[in-house]
Amino acid sequence: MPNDTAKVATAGSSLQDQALLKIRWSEIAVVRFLQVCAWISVLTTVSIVGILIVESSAFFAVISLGSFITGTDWSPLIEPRSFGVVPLIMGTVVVSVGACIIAVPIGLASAIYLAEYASLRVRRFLKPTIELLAGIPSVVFGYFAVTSVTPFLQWFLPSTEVFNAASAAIVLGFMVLPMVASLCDDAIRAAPRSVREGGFALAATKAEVSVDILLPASMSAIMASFILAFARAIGETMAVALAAGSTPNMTLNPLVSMQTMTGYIVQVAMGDIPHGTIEYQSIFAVAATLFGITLSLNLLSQMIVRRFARHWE
Amino acid sequence: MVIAAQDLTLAYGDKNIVKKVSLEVGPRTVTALIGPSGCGKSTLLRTFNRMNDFVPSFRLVDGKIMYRDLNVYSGDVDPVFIRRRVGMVFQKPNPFPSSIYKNITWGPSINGYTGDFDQLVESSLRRAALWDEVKDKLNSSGLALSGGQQQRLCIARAIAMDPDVILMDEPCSALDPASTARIEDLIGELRERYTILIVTHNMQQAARVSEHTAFMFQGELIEHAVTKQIFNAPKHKLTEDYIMGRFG
Repeated sequence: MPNDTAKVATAGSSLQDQALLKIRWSEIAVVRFLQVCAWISVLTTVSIVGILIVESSAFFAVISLGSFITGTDWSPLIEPRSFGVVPLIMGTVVVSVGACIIAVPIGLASAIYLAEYASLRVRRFLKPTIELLAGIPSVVFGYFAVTSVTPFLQWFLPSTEVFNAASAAIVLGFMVLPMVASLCDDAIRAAPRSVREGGFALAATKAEVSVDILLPASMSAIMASFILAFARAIGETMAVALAAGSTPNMTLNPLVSMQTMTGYIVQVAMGDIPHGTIEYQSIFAVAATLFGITLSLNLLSQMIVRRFARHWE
Repeated sequence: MVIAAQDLTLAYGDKNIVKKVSLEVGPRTVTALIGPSGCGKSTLLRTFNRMNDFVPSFRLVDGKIMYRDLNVYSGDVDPVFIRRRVGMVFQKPNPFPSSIYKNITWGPSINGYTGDFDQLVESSLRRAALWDEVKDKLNSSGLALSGGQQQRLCIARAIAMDPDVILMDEPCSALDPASTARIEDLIGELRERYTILIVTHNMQQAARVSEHTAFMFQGELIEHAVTKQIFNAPKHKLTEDYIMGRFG
């Protein structure tokens, strides 16, 4: 065998010739292609942020940043115009907090059940089914809110308006629930079996192990999942635009119509507002505000995970 | 007799892991369970406090586990009660990700302990020979301790329950020699109060810490006798071969 390989290696030319460094163009081309693909996402984000900055600075050249952020009257389309973004933020917060009030307890409870109680068979069915909920198109949720949830609310709270924040919050809660359940499930399951066994060996019940050991140990990831769910709720558009209506409203009453930041952007972007007008530019200002909020929330959740993560071992 | 296996056959799925084993352990003694990997010694150990309940494929095929006069696997016996009396220390130290103090008090508090917790923490840590090292940092995390300290914390946690029996599943296999020596000394002191059943891979350790030794091979209990006899004059050829290091 050594003889055969020696023969192949020396066939034709000298060892130096064979060892000569070759430039492999196809290899370089593949690497370049992969590199471009990886940078496309970065490029997209940068251009979106760039456009947001350019267009909203045109807006802020006319309307002062202070009056935009602190103003409590939002009527950009009707004279006398007013660009106070607080009612939109209020609508967004009411809807998103409402969504979290639904998604957080149900999601966390589902996660505890999935991680600690469900048999393997039940889990194999339940987890993909919960995640399927996240695959339902947003517009279906919005339609469902208008045709089912709102009439249901009106049935026992007759003062509920046709478009209202509560029904938007309810469907939004179910939209972000799979995310909470899934992230919390991962967090709880990350605790090693040995820690659970340590609990059981001290005569603890399953509930005591879950609540006293596993929940506190996964608290940072659980908190992060709540924040991400909140950020997702803030950015959600279609269901909210359909269900909550398009009346900017400075109120905390969820039974009336409220406009969210995303709802306003849809209303203007789909309407026949001419480009370059102040109304048109206002959606970029609102979008920049929205982007700032969701970006901060995402950073916050990452910070919590990094800072407070339990390192098993 | 404090704990006993009677004609016990255990299985994972269809595979019998422990076969017709009978073993009695008397009060305030240390009994070592030795044997090559996969001989069923850990599986046997984990039936005495029903820790195998959490392994879905586990089955008790035949026979009984007794704790004093309780049939441990009888349908009307609460496994939580058994675990209150039969504590366990695991192969890898597994402190909870909370303070040293809470590691000790959690078990007793969920099981209705009403005495003085500060006192309980101190006495448990003292008996686990850890008090002097941690008395100034009871509120720091149990996970911040060294491996050997973590294992003594786990022993202290088990002692705090005031158990009758302590099961130890290769408690030193993840530790360095110095920590191992400390745990072995500790086992020597604990035998004054508790019945200890210890699974070990390390024959020198079995010889050092135990009064009785049981040798298992391929799920069967080959020989169970006073430790000196097992190591000096084993009756069975297999026991002799294992102790001489001819296999394992």
